[in-house]
Amino acid sequence: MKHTLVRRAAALRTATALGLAASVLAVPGSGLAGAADTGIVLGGITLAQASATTPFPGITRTVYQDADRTWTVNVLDIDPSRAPITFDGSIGQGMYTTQTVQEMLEQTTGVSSRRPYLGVNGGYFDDGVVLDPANRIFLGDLGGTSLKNGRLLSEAGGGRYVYDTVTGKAVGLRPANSVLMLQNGRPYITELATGLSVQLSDDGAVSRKVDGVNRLPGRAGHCLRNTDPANTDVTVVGGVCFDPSEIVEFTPEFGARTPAPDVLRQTDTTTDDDPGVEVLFNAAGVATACFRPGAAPGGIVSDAPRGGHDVPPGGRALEGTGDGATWLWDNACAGKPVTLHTVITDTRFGDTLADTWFGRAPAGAVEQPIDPALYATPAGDVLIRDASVVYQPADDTARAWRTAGGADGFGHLFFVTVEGQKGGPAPLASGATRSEFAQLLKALNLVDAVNLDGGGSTTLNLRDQNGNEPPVTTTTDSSPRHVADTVYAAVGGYGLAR
Amino acid sequence: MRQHLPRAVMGMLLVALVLAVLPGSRATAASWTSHCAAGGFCLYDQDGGQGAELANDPRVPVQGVDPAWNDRARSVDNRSPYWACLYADAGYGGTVQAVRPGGQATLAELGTHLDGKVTSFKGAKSKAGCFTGYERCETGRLCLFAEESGRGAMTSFTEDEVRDYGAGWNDRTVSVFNHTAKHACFYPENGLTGSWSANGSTYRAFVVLSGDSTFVPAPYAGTLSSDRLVTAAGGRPATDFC
Repeated sequence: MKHTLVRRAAALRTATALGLAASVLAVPGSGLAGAADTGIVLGGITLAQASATTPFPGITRTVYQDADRTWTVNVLDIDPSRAPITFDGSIGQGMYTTQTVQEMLEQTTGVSSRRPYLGVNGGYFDDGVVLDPANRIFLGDLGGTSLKNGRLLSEAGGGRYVYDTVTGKAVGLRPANSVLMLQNGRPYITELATGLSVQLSDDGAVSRKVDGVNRLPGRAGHCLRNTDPANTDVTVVGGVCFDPSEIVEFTPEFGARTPAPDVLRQTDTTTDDDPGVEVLFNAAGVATACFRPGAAPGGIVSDAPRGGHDVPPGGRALEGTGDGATWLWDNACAGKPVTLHTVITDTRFGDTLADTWFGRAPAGAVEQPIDPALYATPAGDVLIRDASVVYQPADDTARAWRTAGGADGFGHLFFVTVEGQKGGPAPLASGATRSEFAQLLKALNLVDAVNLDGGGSTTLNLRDQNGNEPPVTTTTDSSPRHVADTVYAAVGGYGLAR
Repeated sequence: MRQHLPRAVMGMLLVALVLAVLPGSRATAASWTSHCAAGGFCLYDQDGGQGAELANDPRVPVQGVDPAWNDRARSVDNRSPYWACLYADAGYGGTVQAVRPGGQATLAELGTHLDGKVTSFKGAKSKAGCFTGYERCETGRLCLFAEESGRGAMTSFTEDEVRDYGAGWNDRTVSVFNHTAKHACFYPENGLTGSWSANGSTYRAFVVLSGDSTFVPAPYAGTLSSDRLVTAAGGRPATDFC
């Protein structure tokens, strides 16, 4: 769901003041990391260890509760080094919609014994567009960088404040968002920026920015970004950007037909009303269809508005509105070959994660593909980095149920959830603040941790004896919420019976 | 310690070797005196950042250090934003020691006691990254490792069938990364044959799906001898072709 970014000058100061001592990595079993054997403290309340189990080899579940059961904390410690465990994520049926974590986990395979061991809700998503109000099914637009199948499925969103190191005041934004990456058998938390453009294949100087991936043209959730002097017609309302002139890319993972004009059907939102232009590209990057209302049919051009088309297998669709539509009409629809360019940067280290071309790449271009074995989901605030709590805002009062992903000193993947007492009278039953959550995770000896989507989205599911994936957390909603994606620990290898 | 360099390490990059014998006596933790350049991490052959220095770029992994420095480092100064990951054996094998960004350490003072034992090292963007060597497995390859989590010696294949791992790799695999677009079926005997028995069942293949990395558990552990890569075809699931 949507989240609010707060000022974190103190956090930055802490991050730059890392201690000098080396970090010792002892052998597993030394007891230096992982869930605490005794109680832990959350927001001033001591929680006792209620249970500790090993539901699957390599996976330990520890549950903590206070005497009044104001809070329940689930800690999942997942060690892939000595058990057949692999890490991955799922967007379920597609980027266009949301599902429960249980649905997504159970859909990963038809063989119940090979379903994931466990999973939690993943990234923040745009809950402002409801596809099915009766069943609370949202548009599944993830609010930041999403990577799967070697493709970028959602552009970076949610910029991060840049603070003056002296005054502590925010002085700007950098266009990147935090992500939880699952790659090479370990979790990694960083910030990624994306740079997307479309250009003429024969003349790279003729190009235009691609504004988004797999979302509605005209609406970008989790949109906290600098004013763009070249794009002054953007309005920002409640952290959502409304832009009447965009080009949005769709991949086959969108999972549904491309959106038609005015999907929002909101009278106060007109940025998605433009019939615009849509161009379909086959897997080779060749434009095969162009749709524009009032156009004279011929060649690839049809007299029709954008939307309602399947993304070709292995191909792409581009929808344009405003001057984005004009660009597509003047170039792709006019028979000029175009090429999409995607650059993904790890802004923590300033290196390029991927540099890819769809269509004919320029001469001399060096392709750096997205790792097909990588899964990345957009996260919220980084809570712990390199063993230091880096989330230390001056004011932090928002309480909610929480989900975090992280790693301990042995590189184990951790999922941690905090539930309040549903309907409970205790003042803290509504959940934990991010600061309290960060301190809890630090007490659990996590070296890196990031806040995932929370509130009613907080969900932890474990595979049962029948291979089903029921939630073991309760929910603030009346039933498990439909979310955009899940991250999970799955069966890494298995025997095939005769 | 051991420095068995697998074939995959043939192209390893050696770091710049800077020998700078410093005057003075053996250092203590209280008299740290290194001169490591900002942005890199340095190994020293004496405690406390003293003695000869081996300067390293954390972006350039070293799966087997130059013989002149094998089992020689006694302290480390990490002046990079990366974690410095030190290993007792080649190919990120054996005991692991991580030194945090900006950290300094005399190895004899740490619980892992890697003083005089470091054989390979790399920089990692997170501490968790010190515990994996899977990143060595390039896209399109099926990789086998002699230790857990892609650590230690490694070999890799691209062929759809490898009918005999040969003496060097038969029965040696501890972990696997299937970085191909196909599913991998492993067998306990050469020629894609054999089976395993466990819990009253017989298994004809150990399967690692496309994109997955995993520890190889019992009863498959230490028995893999051949493999086949498979895809779905004719309406049948891929594993039908194992």
